[in-house]
Amino acid sequence: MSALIDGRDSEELSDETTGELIGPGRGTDRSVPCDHCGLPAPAPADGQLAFCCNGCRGAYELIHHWGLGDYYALRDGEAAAIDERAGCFDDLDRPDLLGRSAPTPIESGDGQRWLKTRLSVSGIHCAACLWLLEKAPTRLEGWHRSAVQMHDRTIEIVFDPGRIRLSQIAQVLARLGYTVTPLMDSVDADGESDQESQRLLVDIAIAGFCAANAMWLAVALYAGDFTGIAAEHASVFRVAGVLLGCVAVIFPGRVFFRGAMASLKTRTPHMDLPVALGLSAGLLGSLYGLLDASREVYFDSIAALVFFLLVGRWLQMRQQRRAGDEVAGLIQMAPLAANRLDDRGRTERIRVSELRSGDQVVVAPGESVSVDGVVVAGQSLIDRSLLTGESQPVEVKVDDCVEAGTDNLQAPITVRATSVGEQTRFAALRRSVRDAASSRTPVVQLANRVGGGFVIAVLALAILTGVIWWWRDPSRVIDQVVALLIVACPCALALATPLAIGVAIGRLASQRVLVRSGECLERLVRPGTIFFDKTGTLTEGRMRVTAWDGDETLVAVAAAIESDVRHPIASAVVAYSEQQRRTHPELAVEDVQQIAGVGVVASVPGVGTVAVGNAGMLRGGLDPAWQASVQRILQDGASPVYLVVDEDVRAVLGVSDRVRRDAAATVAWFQQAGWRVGMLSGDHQSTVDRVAEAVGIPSAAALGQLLPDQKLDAIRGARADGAVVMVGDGMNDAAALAAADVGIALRGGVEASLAAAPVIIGDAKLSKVIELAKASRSTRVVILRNFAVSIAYNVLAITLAMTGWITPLIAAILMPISSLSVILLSLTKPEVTQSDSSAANSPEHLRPELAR
Amino acid sequence: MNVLYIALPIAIAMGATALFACIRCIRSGQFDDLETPAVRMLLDDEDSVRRD
Repeated sequence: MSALIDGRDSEELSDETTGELIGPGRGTDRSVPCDHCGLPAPAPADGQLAFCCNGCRGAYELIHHWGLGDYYALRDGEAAAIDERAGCFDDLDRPDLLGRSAPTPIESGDGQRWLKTRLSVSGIHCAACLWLLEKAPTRLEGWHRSAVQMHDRTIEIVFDPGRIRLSQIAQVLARLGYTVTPLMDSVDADGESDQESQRLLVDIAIAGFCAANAMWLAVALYAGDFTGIAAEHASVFRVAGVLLGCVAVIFPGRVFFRGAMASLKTRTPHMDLPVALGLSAGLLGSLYGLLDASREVYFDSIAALVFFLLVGRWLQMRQQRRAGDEVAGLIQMAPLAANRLDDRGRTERIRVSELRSGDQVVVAPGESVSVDGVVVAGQSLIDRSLLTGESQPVEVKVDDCVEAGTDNLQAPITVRATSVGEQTRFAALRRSVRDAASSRTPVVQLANRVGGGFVIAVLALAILTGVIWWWRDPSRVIDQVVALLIVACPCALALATPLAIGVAIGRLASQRVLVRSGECLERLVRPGTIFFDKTGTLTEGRMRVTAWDGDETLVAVAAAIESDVRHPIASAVVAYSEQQRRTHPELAVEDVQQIAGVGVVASVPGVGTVAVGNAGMLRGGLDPAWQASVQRILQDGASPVYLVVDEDVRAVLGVSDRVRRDAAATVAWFQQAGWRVGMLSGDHQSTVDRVAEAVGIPSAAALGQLLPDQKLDAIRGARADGAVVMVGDGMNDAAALAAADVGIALRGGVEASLAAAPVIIGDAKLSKVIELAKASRSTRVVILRNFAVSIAYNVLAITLAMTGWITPLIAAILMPISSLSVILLSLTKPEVTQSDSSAANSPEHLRPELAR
Repeated sequence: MNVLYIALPIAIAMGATALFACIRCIRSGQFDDLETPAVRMLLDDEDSVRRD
């Protein structure tokens, strides 16, 4: 009967869709990007599509089955990796558990009662996601409409409850890689930030109106200086202009005065102070100038200043909102419903927000724990990676503590809540992410400071010019003051930084490095400290079978036993069997028993009692032959796993989280460039030391067993010696990514860390961090060049204007030339050079054509 | 040249009308989501026969 699991037979039984059968290839090191999500996937046979996991294959096939294959042409990045663990969505069918997302009935066109609901959805990246999500309803009976709002990552779904349930829709979306969850009852209602943005926009509209009208009035006055203007008309223009300037300063400009007052009260210098000074100087000067027709008025410049400062403030607010609120919205990983156990031993499904401390909660396997508490019944394995970054699940039994946000993997446990809701450690982590993200210094501040100082300087120089020319030639006072005011346009100065950064961001984006905040580039110029996370950053972040010594025909059997087990090693075995094309779906497996902390035992008819697990599975000693392979596996840094058939060891597997191929080279590059390179990990120190040795980080700088807040402390501690860069991917890195001066997230990590980090590496290649550092250096050069040019220009032009060499007309011609020269200088900057390593690693030529 | 006394208020009034229209648009929430419409206009409406 062993022919059943003979290699040949199992090959014939293997899934047709996996395509041409290949032998148990040794070339498993070769990896190509997954055709769905772009993560590394085992190379398929020629002409076949590559997938990193079955989830991605499922999503790809579903999308093509729907006839929506255009998705792959539309998208600009890769799709979200499919979370194969996407669980059960039954809670979505219970309106009482949905809170703010409870469906509301609406009338359809033909008098039927449909339901409408708004859910938050994670996994949206680009236009193609939107397209797919909004096209999906046409392919699913009973789902009528969906509308996506990208800014807050929500989707509005209209469906016919008679024909489809919300949970079914959620299931389909999960297969595509989008997870929907009910909206959270956040502490600050989401309408608040919308309202704040609306208020600011109204202010901008008023300031823009004033600035634009003041501008044409000023043009009329300047023109009048040349061609002559009736004194009566000139004074009408001046009065109208000053009125507009007053409106701009008093209504939209009031925020600056409020800020300046606060800064005076607290005695901390704030960007609003020079701005408010400049504004009041301009306003008072204009009002005074109004008294005498020969004096100058500055109403157009103050109105424009208010307008541009407000626009800058709005852009900054938008960016912060994205960074802060979106993070908080995305970390919707805590479940919203839980099973509460009442006094009579019955369980009741209720909203997590209704839980009180002291309640007993039953957590089913595959569910997340919803409270911090103590286990009172049952024992199981808990995946705490979200909170602590530990790569291995932890065993818990009665009296052990569990935290909200961790996943129960194995068996149901009952937990007595000690703290709930906002008191949990998970909520604290979420808060620290939000705070760290929104306290980042905004790039606009510099522009404001320069703007405010510039206004004061120009006004002072204008007064000085007026005084000088009053002594020398009173008839030319106005000409020279006007020439100065025109020529001293801060455009070039203001453009110097943003333009250079914008160009660099564009060039990096074409290399799949997405930089969301320009100041990161400025901070990467000088060497500082760079920290790498371990799991998923320096390593690939998922367990793989790296060695299989012994009976290869048992791969399918091992996979069949492990297929329903939720454990990283089980997933590694299943993935290995798929990769080797040794799957055997029809294989009957009976009496699957999980032995916590050891492994799995099952009986397979025709094979015998099969056990897969660690040394705890072994009865008695191990053959010397097997000893040798265990030694070899341990030397490779992998953990040995034994496959035992009827108490007879038949194979030894090596399972490990491999170090990325470009990790050592990246670390070496940064060390050579003078950076201090360190590692921050939540994993055990022994694992951390092994990886540190492999990539060349000194063991003193490789810190293990860190909690998220300890990571934060490490980053804050390193602040003293220059910029701190954090490269990571895990959820437990999110706060650290946001707190570091530059947070770099590798794509393929958890969504929350992507939102917290200002830099995202789209194809999850570690070597792109080097590209980023190089780009920041060349950007620095361009910025300095731009500053030099624009300052030289301004100094020269202002001197000429003050000494009477240029007339207002020539000034008006010279003004745009400085801006143009800065633009040209920025565009002709040297290319961000592509490093040899990334060119060689580029898998483009390996990528099979999407022949459909 | 006294037409100026009529033209100036008219110009300001026209601008103010546009300003009020703009403020109404902002208050009605048209500017809350600035990302989706920009992306949505890139998508074709080829809709389509249902394939089952």
